[in-house]
Amino acid sequence: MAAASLIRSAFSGLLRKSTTIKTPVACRLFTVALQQKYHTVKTIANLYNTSDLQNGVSRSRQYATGPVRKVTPQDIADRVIKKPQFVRNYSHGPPLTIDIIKSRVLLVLQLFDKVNPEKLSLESHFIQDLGLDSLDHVEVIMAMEDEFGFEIPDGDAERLLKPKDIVQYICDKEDIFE
Amino acid sequence: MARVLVGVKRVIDYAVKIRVKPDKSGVVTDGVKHSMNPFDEIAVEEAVRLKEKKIAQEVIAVSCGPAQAQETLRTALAMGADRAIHVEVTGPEYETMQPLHVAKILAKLSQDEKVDLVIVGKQAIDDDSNQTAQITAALLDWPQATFASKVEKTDAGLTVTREIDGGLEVIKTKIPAVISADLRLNEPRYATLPNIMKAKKKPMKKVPAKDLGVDLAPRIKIISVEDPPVRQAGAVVPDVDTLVAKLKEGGHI
Amino acid sequence: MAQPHRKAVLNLYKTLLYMGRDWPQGYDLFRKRLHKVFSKNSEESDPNKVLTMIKHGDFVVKEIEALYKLKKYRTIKRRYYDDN
Repeated sequence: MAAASLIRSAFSGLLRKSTTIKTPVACRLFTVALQQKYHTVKTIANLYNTSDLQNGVSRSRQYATGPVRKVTPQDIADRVIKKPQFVRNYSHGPPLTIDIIKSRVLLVLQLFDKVNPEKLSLESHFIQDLGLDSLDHVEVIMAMEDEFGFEIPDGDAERLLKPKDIVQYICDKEDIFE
Repeated sequence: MARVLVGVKRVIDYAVKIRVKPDKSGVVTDGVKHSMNPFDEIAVEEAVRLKEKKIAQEVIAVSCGPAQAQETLRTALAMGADRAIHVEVTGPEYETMQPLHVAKILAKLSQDEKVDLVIVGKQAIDDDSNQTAQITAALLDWPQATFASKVEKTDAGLTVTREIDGGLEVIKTKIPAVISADLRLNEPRYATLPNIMKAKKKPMKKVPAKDLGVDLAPRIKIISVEDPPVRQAGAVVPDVDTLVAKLKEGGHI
Repeated sequence: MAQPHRKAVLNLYKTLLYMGRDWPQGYDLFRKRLHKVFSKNSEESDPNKVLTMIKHGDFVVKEIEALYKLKKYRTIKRRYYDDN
């Protein structure tokens, strides 16, 4: 029995040895085979590629006719809108009071080169007191239109002969009362 | 019947001599006469003409910038636009505002106002970017007809003649679309005084850019702004022989 | 003092004044010249003569408009389209 087991173990040892020797060989062979296959595939692929080039036709065509998928408003919103939403801010113009209007009217007149600032008051008459002619008066009205940003029709302009009249006119337009 | 959105920009007047700031951060804008970008005037004119031809139903002018942008919008209204939208952008955000931001604002408003056509000038005469129309079209996925020198209505859309290198290209496009106006598209009308006055009665909506939710973070940084190189002074030569000698010296003959 | 067509004259003055803001040599020069020209004829009381002058004024308005347009077009063309 002892001898038999010895032989078996020797055999199995031999067997084991042989497998340990053979496996790497098989592996190497397998790798070589794989590599060969790979090379063939590659060469074939290369062949295909060259034939493609020879024909001058590229396989991957690109189309410029637009996206396949219809772009939704949401997609566009995603491109345009900043992700975190902001708190709303509200703005409004500066408040107008009768005093601000008075000072703005007088300032515009003081800056007008034909008006003597010393003679100027809310009560001074453009033509009689300040020595302006009707053409200058047109310039005054135009300057006021620019300053306050609305039109003064010719009919109204004719009646605005004192700075006071202009102040009153603007107050009426802007709904400001004393 | 289409609704048309026109983008207008307030720029330093074309006739003003531009001065660069000493620190090279930009150009001097304070106390300098400003007016509407000439290419945008052409865009407004085209939109108004489309309306006069009954192709467009409404013309909306848009400008982004500080309060002064409203003057430019008034001009657009005086030229015949129906209403205006002033997108308020002020301070440092305005200084670093770039075509991408304007395009995003235009794209957002195009959706909000349900417009069918966006017309802008091909470029502004201050930064000469020539990008707003293209980016807007990309953002909206609309066709673009840039450098237009003729716009005609055809059954399904528009036929646009484009100015390209060495000639003209005629393209057909469906609407909605984005058009950028070239110099020869039309001759813009002068905004007369009575029309400026009438324009003051037309509606102008103010929208802070923040309310539109558009990202205004700058993508481009300006490194330095400099004067163009000064042309070297010429010299007067006394006779032909000297001229020939000089030309030989310079290797020109 | 009869002032025929007073409204039309003042209106014309206003229109021209507005256009003067874009005058290449400056608004002030334009404004002063304009005032001088208008005051020179301010004593005219013949309605027909005034009407002729208004017509001439309207013509000048159109001329200035054309001048501005052409100047702008030419400047932009030179700047962006002329290669030499």
